[in-house]
Amino acid sequence: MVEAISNKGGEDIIQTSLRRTTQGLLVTIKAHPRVEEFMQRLSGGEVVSVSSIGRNWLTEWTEPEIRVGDKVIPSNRHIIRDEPLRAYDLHVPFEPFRSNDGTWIDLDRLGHPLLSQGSNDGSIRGNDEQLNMSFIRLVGISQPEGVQFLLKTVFSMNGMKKLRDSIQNAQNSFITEYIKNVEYTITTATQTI
Amino acid sequence: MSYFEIDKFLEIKLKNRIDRVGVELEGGWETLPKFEFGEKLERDGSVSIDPIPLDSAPSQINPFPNESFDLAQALRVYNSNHPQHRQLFLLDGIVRDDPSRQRFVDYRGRPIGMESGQAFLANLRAGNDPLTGSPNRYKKIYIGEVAGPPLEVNKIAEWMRKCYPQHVNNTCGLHVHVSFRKALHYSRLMVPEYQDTIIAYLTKWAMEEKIDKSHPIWGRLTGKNEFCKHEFFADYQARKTSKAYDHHGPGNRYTAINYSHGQHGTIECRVLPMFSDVEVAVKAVNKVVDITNACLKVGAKKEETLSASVVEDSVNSMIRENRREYI
Repeated sequence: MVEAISNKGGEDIIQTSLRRTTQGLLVTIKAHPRVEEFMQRLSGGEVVSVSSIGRNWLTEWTEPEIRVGDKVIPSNRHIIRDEPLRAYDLHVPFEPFRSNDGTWIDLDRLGHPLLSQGSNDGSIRGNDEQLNMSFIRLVGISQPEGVQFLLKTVFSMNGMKKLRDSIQNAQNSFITEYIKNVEYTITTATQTI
Repeated sequence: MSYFEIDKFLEIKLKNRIDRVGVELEGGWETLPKFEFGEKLERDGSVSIDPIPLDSAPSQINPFPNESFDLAQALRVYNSNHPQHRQLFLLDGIVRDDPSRQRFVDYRGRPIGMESGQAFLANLRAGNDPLTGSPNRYKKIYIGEVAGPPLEVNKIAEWMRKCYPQHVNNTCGLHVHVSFRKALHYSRLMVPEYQDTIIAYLTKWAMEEKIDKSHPIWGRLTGKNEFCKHEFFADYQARKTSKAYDHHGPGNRYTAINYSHGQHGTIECRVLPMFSDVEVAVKAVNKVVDITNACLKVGAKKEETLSASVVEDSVNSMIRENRREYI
């Protein structure tokens, strides 16, 4: 059974952490090797640079020099990770699917904001909210430290809790739909031959 | 209404956590100030200033400032016969002395009587009605909105005094944009209490200033103004990356506090109207800044991390379903 709790014994399959920081939303994603292997198989091992597709996921940023009156605050470079973000390149993109709370899940928007409305190709209606879960395609999420990136965005606390709940539902749906082994046994019987 | 108690913080000098402040001024200008930061007068359909009759003194307005304006568009505005638009044309409609423009068209694009712009321009230069040549009866006024540059807090007053319009009324808003060096400060103001605090303490300020009960600020403070409703859509608004003009529904920008992060990276306070006295307007903007800094002081606390985890007894656990049917 898939459960949305983290304090129960068992294996963490996917864990996404969200934290508001001084520069934006810090996202940390860790997953069981089975999840990364699944993506790797789908891609045939090919990877793509995330920044070549979308520029919202940052691994470093530089605060510009700021002048306040006569005072100068020098520019400051922050680095989250040395390696640029890479993701498994899917030749056949996932079709957006709905999680059990009705949110559309998109796995094909690397480097884009986590939440958006509608889709570019019109497959999702204008006012329907769409959750971008493409981060589970990132290379390295099965490493102990996972993968971390920054989004230059703002969230209210309630908005972040809502996002957390959406991600939870999306992760559950993804595991159920794509990762878990499924065995159906169909038996046709008669009372007597 | 649930607001932060910030009285004690308003009495002391707090650390300023606001990076820049930008002010949008709406109204009518008899003369446009010399803009230093690339500002310009923009049309704003919500601003309406009644025509102002000419007094005996000759107008000193230069009808040809260094701005270009599409002539056909100017004539379309002129021909709409709307007093406000007519004014806009006369004052804001700047005609380029361009000999290549051979004809004028009406609002449907049909040619009108004047085959050349020369008479039109001559009339305009003489300060007369450009089409009929009859003397103008109204002052030339530039109507619309001027968006100020992002400035340090202590430079806002000077800019406002320089750029403040001479004519304002209840259709004119004074919008204050604030930005922050730290995204966390922005995020911490994404609570309904911030909007409620702005409204509560601006109400208190307006009472202390003894602002007349007929002043448009009271309608805005009580939520009766369509352009600054007391609704809260922080996260929806913050994700919008373009301006939308829909007044209703989640995420519309016509709220007392508009979280315009996706578009400008700012929080926009839409509560204030324009005041006839620029000094009152400066005090009001400073009050918004002070209340904002005080709210950040109150709202400072350790951030928590939220996690979403999927836990399984074993990754190899299986969904099993047996179906048996008897025939």
